[in-house]
Amino acid sequence: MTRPDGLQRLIDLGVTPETPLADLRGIKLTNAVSLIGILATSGWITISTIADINVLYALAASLVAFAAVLGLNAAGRYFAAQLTFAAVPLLITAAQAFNLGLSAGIHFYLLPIAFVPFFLFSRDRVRFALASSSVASAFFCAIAWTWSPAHPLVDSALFSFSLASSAVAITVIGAYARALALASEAQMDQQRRDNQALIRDVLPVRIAERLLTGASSAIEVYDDAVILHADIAGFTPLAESMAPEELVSLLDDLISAFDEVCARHCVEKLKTVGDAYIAAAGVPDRLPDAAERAITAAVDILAAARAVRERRGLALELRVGVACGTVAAGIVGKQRYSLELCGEALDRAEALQQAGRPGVILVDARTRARANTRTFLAEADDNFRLVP
Amino acid sequence: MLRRLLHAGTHYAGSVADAQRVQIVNAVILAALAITLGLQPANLVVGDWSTTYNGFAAAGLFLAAYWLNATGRAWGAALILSLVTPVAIVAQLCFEDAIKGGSQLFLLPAALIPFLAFPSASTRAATLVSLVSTLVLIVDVLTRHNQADVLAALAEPGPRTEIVHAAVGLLTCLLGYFTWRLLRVSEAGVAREQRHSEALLLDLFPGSIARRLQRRERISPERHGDASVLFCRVVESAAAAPDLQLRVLSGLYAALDDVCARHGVEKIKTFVHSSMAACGVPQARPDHAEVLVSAALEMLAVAGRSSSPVVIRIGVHSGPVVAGVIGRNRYTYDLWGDVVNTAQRMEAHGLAGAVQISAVTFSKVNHRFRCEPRDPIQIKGKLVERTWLVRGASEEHA
Repeated sequence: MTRPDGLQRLIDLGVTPETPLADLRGIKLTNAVSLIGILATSGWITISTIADINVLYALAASLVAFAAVLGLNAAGRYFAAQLTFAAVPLLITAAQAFNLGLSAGIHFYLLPIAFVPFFLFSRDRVRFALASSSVASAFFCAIAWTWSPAHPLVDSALFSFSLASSAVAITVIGAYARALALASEAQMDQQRRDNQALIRDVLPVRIAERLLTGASSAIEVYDDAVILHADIAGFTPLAESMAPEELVSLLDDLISAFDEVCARHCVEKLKTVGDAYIAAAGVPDRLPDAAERAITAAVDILAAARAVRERRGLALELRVGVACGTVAAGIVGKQRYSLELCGEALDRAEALQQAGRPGVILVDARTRARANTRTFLAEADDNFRLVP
Repeated sequence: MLRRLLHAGTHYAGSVADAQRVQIVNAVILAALAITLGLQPANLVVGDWSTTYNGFAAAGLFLAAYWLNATGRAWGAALILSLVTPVAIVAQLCFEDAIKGGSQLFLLPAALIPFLAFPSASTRAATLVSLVSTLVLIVDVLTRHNQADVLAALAEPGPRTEIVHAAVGLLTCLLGYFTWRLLRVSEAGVAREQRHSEALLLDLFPGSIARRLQRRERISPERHGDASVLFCRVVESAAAAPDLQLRVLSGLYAALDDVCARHGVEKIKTFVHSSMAACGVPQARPDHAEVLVSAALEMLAVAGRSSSPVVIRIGVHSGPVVAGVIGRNRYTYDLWGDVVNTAQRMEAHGLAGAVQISAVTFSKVNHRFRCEPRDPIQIKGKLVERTWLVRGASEEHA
């Protein structure tokens, strides 16, 4: 369903990106119905055959009230707009119904007015909705019971017209209100899904699911976690020759490429610390082939860094250390948390990275024993150099 | 028993709101059934056979609607419930010339029933069915040759008109209320989950950054001219095993996060024994150094007070930084630049249980804190820097 742009903008009057979704329904409904109200009232004024000055005053007052609702919404005073919308047409209609008598049928307009407040106010303000709805309903009954004398200018055609048009109003407002309510709910649901998708991007999936279902995340011990620690050799000299923004954009290129490699091999990225990149295999999902995965990821990360180097024409190379050991892992702290690991394997992976030369992957004996399908060269201190 | 009757068919509903819809429709059908059958003995006594037939026909219709609802066809039940009134009015108009006391007016609330009864996914069907009631009323009222007859029938003085008006007004109000109840049930469920995911997101990112990420914006790293950066490291802890260490860190970081939140300091990240915080990003503020240093002093105190005391050391430096989000997954709001590296060195060369600040930071906080100069130290072989240890708030600010 596409609406003319101008009309949509009028209906969205006062809606900003910061508007709470709970208020959206009320704003749109008051705007839309006020617009119809302005049109209908202006129509009444121009074609009105009732030369009663009270009727004209009432119509003019409704016009002002509807315009005020639009103005209040535009100014961000949503609740004031809702109150105005609920109270003013109700009182004017009731006054005119008493003025013109039962045979004018004006009181039928009180029925849509008794229905609409429930869609108008936000979820926690049902008392306002109940109050204005029951007042409208009470006036409707009261007019039938008081038998105010028919106004001399009223004819039976007016009665039929009022009845028919209020029936149309009931269907139109009912349909629009329901559609708005479902739309705001769907939008809220979409927002929830978007948030959840973001959270699944940021945290390991298993931990994201736990947190999203409201469970807390426990600290677990992993006996054979394999840590990968990579550092960009040649980054510090670059840092002195490049503007900081440029440098971070280069870092973004590299880190994004590493992230893709890790995601491909089910290796969990842990952190970036400056130009260092730390990931782990076998955490938080225990994998039997963690060592193999970590090594494959290390090889691919090296290749990814070389691809960026070729593309950018910069002297960059990675030093990578891979170490296996017992670690504890969990979510730590209350804010800006990510998967935190603790264990000597982390320090060993970093030490291996620092001990190695650029372009070399150094692997500890424990990792090597678990990934013996590869060719390794022995290094000093029981470590091995990977020969891809 | 009544509960079982009311809940019949709710398990077929796709959502909490639709389940509640089924329940409300069940209640309405059962009430209508009870009233219709309850009136019949009186009709039989009087010998009004045509009304009795009509009554039993209506009861049959309500039973069918209940059966549809109980067997998961809420759509069919909604259709019957919504069309009972217009069909009855049309039948009355076909078989009897005169309109008895304005029962047409019930078409007005009847036009609201579909919006209550039809499942969430069938709003278009609800609108069309609502239109049936409205059209029956319009055709009946506007096509009569003599408009005065309409007026006479619907607004004739007398108790019948009064009762019809009262019932119509009450029904409209009730239908609105029940529609609101449904709305609340479904909105509340969605809103609760939305709030939960929102809160999690705000744990993970600064508010303004979270908003931009929600709008699928890229947070390209950008330069912030003046901010302060803090590094904190655990240098002594009694725990030995990795999981015990992590437990101790968990308690410590929770406490430090509270300090950050209280002072309006932005926690950036943690990495095992080290953590990083900043002030002046993403929102610039002129007093970033003072705020961060006073948070640092409280962090020292909190670390000593925690259930398993640890010793930390802290370093602070101020200046321009680049801040933003990089990477494809597991990304965080992070800081880069020389100022970040120097802040880390302030920590690395600091003293256990103390806050060491650089000359730049000292010049910004000097007036508020008691600072004690250290001998110039050589940092990473390149610079000889003067640093200060913050001893506490100065007397007039204590």
